[in-house]
Amino acid sequence: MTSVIHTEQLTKTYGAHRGIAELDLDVEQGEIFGFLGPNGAGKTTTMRVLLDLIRPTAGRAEVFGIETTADPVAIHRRIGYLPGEFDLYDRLTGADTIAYFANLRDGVDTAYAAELVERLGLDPSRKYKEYSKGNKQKVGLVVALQHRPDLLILDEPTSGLDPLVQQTFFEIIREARAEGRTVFLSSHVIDEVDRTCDRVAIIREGRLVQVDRIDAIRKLAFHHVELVFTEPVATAIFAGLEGVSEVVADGTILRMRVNGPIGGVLAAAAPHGIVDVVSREPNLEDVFLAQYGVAS
Amino acid sequence: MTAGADLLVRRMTSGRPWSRVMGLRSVYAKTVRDSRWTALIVGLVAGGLFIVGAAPLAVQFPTAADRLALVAQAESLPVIMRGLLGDPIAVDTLGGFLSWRIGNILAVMLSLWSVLALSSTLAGEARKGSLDLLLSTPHARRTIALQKVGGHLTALTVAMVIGALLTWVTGMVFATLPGDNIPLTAALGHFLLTGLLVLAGGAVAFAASPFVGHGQAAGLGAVAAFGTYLVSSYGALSPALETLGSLSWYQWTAAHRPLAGQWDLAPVLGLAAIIAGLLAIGIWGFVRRDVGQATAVGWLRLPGLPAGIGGPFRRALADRTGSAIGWGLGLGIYGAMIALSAEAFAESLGQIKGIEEMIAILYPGLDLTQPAALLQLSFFSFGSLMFGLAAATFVSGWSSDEANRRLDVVLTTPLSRARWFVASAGAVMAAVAITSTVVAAFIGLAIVTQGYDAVSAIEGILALGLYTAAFAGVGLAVGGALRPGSAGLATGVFVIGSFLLAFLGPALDLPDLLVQASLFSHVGQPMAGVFDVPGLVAAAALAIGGVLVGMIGLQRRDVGR
Repeated sequence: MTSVIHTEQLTKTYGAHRGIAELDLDVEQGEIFGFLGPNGAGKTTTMRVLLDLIRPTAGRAEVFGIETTADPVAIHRRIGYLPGEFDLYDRLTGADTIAYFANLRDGVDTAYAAELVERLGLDPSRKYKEYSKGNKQKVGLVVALQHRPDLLILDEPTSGLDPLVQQTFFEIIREARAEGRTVFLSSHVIDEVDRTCDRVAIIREGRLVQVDRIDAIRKLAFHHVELVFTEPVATAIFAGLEGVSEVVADGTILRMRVNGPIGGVLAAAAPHGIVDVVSREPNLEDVFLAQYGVAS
Repeated sequence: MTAGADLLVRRMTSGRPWSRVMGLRSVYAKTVRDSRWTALIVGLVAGGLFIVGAAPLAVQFPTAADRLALVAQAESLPVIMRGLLGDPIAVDTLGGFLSWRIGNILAVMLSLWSVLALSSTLAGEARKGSLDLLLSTPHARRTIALQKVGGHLTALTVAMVIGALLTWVTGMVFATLPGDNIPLTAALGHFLLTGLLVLAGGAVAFAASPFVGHGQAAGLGAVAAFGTYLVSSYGALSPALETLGSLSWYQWTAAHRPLAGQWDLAPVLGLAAIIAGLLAIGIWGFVRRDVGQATAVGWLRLPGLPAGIGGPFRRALADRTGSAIGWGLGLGIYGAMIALSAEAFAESLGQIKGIEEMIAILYPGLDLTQPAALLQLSFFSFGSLMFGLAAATFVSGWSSDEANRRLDVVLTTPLSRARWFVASAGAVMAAVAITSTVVAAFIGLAIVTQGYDAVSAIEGILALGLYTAAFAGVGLAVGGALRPGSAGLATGVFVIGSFLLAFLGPALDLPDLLVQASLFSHVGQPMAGVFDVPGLVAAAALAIGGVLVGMIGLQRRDVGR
């Protein structure tokens, strides 16, 4: 696979303030890559470095094999970007705004731009300043998508969109993947990321804490395990087992989190009259919250 | 295809022939498009002033003898009286007269356009986030910056050409004596200089903007634009100002008066080179630095009150205090320098035969041995304009609460619209008071250290504060009752319009009723203890009435429209 985005020890600080630290990241061609983290973790900083809007303090970043500071224009020619926060030109209509950015790319496939407008349900005849937050976001999405870029860098693309439009948006980016294009996005709609992304990275306080395929992350992560006994059982029997945590008793039911294989748990439960076992695979939200020390 | 999609396709495929120069085909074309109305208005105002200015000369000075009397009158004025007009060169010709009466003041007023446009063209877009999107298109930062600057230069050129053409037409229509004709080359030569003088402050702002951000860059540009004009106008007052005057582009180019038949292109080209250098610094800074990561320069940061979270008055005042002190410092230091020149000025007056009698006729009761009198002569008129512009910035900052939708959040607390309006408008008035107090403190200190009585000068500054509150009141009324986004601009236009009306109206032979409609026609000589009581009452009425009108207006209209 070819790396579309490649960073090595990428670091950005703002004076005394942390931005990102020693980020090593590879995003492969044709994948949808989710970039997760709470507010202020460094997602936007990473994206802005990739676009050469800000320059690394240390380390390096490449997009399409081109160092971001060396030839940003060559990179921009092949990317579509949606900032997390933006405000465009109040006096232009949606159509004017989209046409302007199309012109700056020396023209785009107008039929595709029109299709995007239709699918996202945008009325392009209104002035930008008259749009609601969601409609402004739609204008930004059309601007980012209309030229069918090889790489989409989307910072919170679903922010302000209603659930139906969110669904349409994820359809559009799945189509982009089907065409061999790459999507690098940050989002707080974790279940959609879970369903749509091939791989995710979780960033915490400027550092990457996990990067993997979603199914692999799930496997590596804990399971929620529920054991039903014939009569109450002491939690201490399980609390000391390897990989077991947060054991809670509720009458004849014991609930716990188990990291890794649950064979040891079953072996410990067998002598105590176990009648049922429920093991739920974690979703991405569980993983995400666990990385931040918050139980789901 | 839906109607919306159809509209988009039509918009994207309908290429108008001029859209590469003015339209949405490029960053350059969009910059020109965004500036087109401003350029047209600036050109028409510039040319219009020349047309209006030409009429009275033709009527009042129809013969050669009348013109010679005019020359004698103009040349007899000491430097301090000429003040803002500069040296009279060939004022017996139509072109020379217009160049003298209108040339300088027009350039310094219009420079606000360039300062605001060039300080915000990149830094302002960076702040609102649209620059990120723009820079993600396949265009180098240098190209985008060059196109933005090029767009402004084109708009400025169009405005100056309109002005030059109207001036040329003025010469054809109003020429009554030999030498009154204004050649097109002379008109173009004059507006070449005007354009460069307008651009110079903007170039300073543009050079600073990648480093200090939009707001501070605009401040620096404005200081450069107005400061160079002032030190050039009053350089003769003191050695300190004279030294500073040598740094002024108004002084370098003072001999270039094509409308008066006098060309001095070398310094004009020198100024052009300096402007090019400043613009290059701005582009270089923009290319080199992180987008939107301006580093506020510590010594440029104006002080403010701590957070100001005690209520709407304290919140609004905390936001205004920095700029209020900044205006106060700038005007206060300038006034103090003039006050410190009082003795030298009195001495120089004593050496000019008959000047004291002339001043006594023009300004009866003015005691020229007192610094307050000197301040009235040389500080008051331009100082009052600057006070007015300070009010415009306070009102502009005040209106941003609504324009930026903060007010939506504030008014969803148990705070009535009326209470918010009165509190925040009160903070604008308090900002005016802070500026007045700082200026009064500086000037008072300068006068007292020389052993003079500072009371009348301080009273004069406080009266000026009342007039400033009146201008703020007008802006608050517009912002409250009509459009918050236009409040600052409306205040600025009202101030500059009133100033031009009072300053140029009599020279342009405008109807007295119109001239008297300007608040600046009713300020008296307050720094010398001569107060215009009806003017003060009118100012107080405008200040209070403006707040009331705005408050009532805000209660009756939609918020955030």
